[in-house]
Amino acid sequence: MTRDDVQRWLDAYVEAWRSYDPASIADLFAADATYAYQPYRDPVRGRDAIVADWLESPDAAGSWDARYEAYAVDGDRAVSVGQSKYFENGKLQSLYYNVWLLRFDADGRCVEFVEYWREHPKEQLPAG
Amino acid sequence: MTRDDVRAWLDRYISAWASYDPAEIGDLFADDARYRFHPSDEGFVGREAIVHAWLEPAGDASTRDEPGTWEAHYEPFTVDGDRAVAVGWTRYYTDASKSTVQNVWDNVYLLEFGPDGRCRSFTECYVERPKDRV
Repeated sequence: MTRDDVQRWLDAYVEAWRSYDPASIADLFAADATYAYQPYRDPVRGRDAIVADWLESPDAAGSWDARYEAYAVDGDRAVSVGQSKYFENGKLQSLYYNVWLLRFDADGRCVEFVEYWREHPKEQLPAG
Repeated sequence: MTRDDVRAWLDRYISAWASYDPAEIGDLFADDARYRFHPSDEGFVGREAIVHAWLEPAGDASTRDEPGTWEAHYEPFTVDGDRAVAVGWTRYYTDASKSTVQNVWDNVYLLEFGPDGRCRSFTECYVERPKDRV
């Protein structure tokens, strides 16, 4: 994978999140992919289970914004760094810093996704 | 940087933490390095400030980690030119007998190195494992 390949995958991830289109979500992941919301948690296993998990409690359109960037790429491994913002009535309610450890297969689909995140202190949220 | 370079740097990081030797800590970082404990931090800027923050975390030496009360393992996950990402864990015990685990952290370090192999930017993102997972 190149940094551009990884960036395209990350942009497709955000698009899939926005559309909640099952085929777009599924297309991000290999059939036997694992997806861990925390490094210590048992991952969701398999493409179908990941898609079902995404669709379980969807974020309302316009209630969030996210940007993730390819920070480092090394063979089939990559690390993404970014921010996720959630809004209520147009006002920023929470801001998360995300670091994802990613592994890809030869087709450029993700086979392993491990997320680390930290919430920005609520009392120090920037405007917007 | 090669994977071995990063691994060697991480080993020296742990060794400097264990020794609290100012020269060993200082040698890890570039003159103008930035060290963030969280991605949202402004962080400490400059080698001297970083060494000081390690040696006197709460303004004095009282909150240094006691020898033998912790263990840590970090390894390179990606090495991409002068950037590297390390992953690992840090385990704290209630005392040096190591009979009772106090807490365990899962760590990611985002690292940028200068041409001499010293770290120019260090950003940590860590999460604490729930007690039933330690």
